Amino acid sequence: MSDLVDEAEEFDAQVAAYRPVLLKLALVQLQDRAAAEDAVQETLLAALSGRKSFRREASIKTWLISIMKYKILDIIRSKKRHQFAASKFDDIDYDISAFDGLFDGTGCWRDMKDPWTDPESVTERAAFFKVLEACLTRLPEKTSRAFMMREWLEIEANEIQQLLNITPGHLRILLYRARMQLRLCMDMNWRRG
Amino acid sequence: MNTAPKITCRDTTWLVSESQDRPLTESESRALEQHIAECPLCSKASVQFQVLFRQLRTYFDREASNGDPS
Repeated sequence: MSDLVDEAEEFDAQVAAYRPVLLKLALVQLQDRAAAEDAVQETLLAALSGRKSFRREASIKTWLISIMKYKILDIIRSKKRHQFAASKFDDIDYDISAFDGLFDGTGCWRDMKDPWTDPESVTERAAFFKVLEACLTRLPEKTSRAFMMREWLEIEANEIQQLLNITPGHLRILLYRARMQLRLCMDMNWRRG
Repeated sequence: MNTAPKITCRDTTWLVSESQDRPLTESESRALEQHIAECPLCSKASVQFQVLFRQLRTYFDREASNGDPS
């Protein structure tokens, strides 16, 4: 019996340890400390009371992030746009010259290493995700916010444009930049070990 | 019938990114496929993008069927 108690305690401690990671994610999306704290708190409470629904093959972190997704979506959609879009998207550049160096004058890749493949084992996947997370963290904040709305929250492009009050062309650039940067970052940092 | 518009490698990266947000038009898909088939660098890049997109889906726990069966 005490084994079960230990297990529950360990689970609770593991869940609590992800609070900073969750808070950071929530802050980028909500741009409001109090709202972000609330979303994280609700996520942690839901996780602690829902321990039985945790599937062992998923990581606790992935599980927590997927719980928080719906809390964040609720908040984003319940707010009026003008209350929500506090951070300005009109003061950023939509420059993509950062990728110029990857291509030659005719728009051809200068160089391309052999492709990496999907991680094959649990350990390899964990290692891949570690690099992926580091690369995600390196995205500029507004690029990251738009990209995470699409990839994590799975909001359609036209709704993201409305929520962020940006044009389709600008969203297209932000998502392009994020994907180009992630590919490049993975290419430089992910090597099967 | 097989005359897709010629596009550059750089153009393909835009289409690859946009294919994640909207369905490509028929002529876009044709141009993309044709370019990738003929260009070894783009075919490598395209594999990298597909691995990246697939792993992002797994990371964010989308598509339950994508997980390990174990």
